[in-house]
Amino acid sequence: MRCSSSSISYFATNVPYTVDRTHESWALVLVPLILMSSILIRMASRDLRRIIGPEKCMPYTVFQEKVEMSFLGHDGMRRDGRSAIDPRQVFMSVGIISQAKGSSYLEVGNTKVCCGVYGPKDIQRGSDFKMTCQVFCEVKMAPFSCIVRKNPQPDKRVKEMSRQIKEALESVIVLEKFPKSQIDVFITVIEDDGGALSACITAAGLALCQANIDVYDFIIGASV
Amino acid sequence: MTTKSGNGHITCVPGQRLCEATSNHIAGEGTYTFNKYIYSSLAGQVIVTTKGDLQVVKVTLGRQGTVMPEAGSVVTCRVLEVNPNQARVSILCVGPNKLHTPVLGTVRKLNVREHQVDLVEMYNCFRPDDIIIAIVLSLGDIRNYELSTAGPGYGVVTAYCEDGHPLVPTSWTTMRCKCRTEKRKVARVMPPKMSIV
Repeated sequence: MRCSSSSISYFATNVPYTVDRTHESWALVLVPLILMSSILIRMASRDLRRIIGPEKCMPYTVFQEKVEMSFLGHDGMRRDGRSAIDPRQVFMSVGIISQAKGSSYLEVGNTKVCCGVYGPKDIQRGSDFKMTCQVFCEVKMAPFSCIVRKNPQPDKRVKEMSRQIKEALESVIVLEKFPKSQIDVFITVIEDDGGALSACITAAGLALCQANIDVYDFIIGASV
Repeated sequence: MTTKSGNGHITCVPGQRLCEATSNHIAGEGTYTFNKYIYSSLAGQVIVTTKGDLQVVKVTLGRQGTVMPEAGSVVTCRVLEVNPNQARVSILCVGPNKLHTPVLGTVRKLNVREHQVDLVEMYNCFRPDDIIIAIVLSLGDIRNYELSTAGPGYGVVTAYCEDGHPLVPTSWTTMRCKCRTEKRKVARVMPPKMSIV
């Protein structure tokens, strides 16, 4: 029995089966069952919302030779020509997301971060009644932000970043002014060239200022 | 810091120390007091206004500030649904400040008017999609603020009849349009002060 459709042959590559001409009637029943089971197994692990490249493909950088580089080269400068104490160039802009109450875009060297602040608004279901505002922070790394494609699902490092930024913002926002409300902070890392956490904190501070939300001080992030 | 004609010239960022918190200077909106100094909590321009013999220091950018309803604030709401016991509303503005995201509130049957509170018929006081002015009684529970329209200045401000025509108030309990008369709990909104030339 020849599978004429190419899609069926793609799904069936890993399913070992042989079809005998003499048992064609059995094959007509068995093959669809096997195909369906393989499809179901694939569907459970496959991400159906995105167009992924063919399986078993990896970026070429994984196969390149790893060169050991120290922090400072022979001339005492970093790899990109800065000295040990020189900061990278910074670009900032606010008001880029029109639907958000406040938003900001920050570039530190090649690291690009975008932040949107919403609120204060009604507290979401399932939370307790509190006389102070609650801060909800979520950091998302774009899949194209790193050299190797990153899974859009948040991993431990990203969750830890979100938790740290939430704690930092809770210490800065005047929480008593907004009882029974929550402030949402959504940060997207568009390109990660190092120092993403400090760039996220600075972007969140800028967006809070632009959102006219009372803060005790202007928060910035820096790595030492 | 001059107060006569030099107002609004100082631009400040949050956390910037503005002045000493003496008995003459008090912290207005957009500022907070810490360690006997007044600090700014918003990014904007510093404006000092005189209130009696006190000087109020506030920081504003001309735009509205961020306020949430608190007990005693006057709010503008839109009625979402009407039950025999209560009316659910969506709070749109707090005073002159428009909320970025509307929050929910309820007006209970007992809080609709001041007299004969037991004989209130909710459907003759509010209808869905009316705009009402109410006062916040308390923060209420996790979902809704507690509101009250008891008083002459609170109640329905804008409404439409069943056919969609705008209604004009004619008494404390009736509004009329070109085709019919409908019952509402009407708010007596004072007209703005106009200077007589």
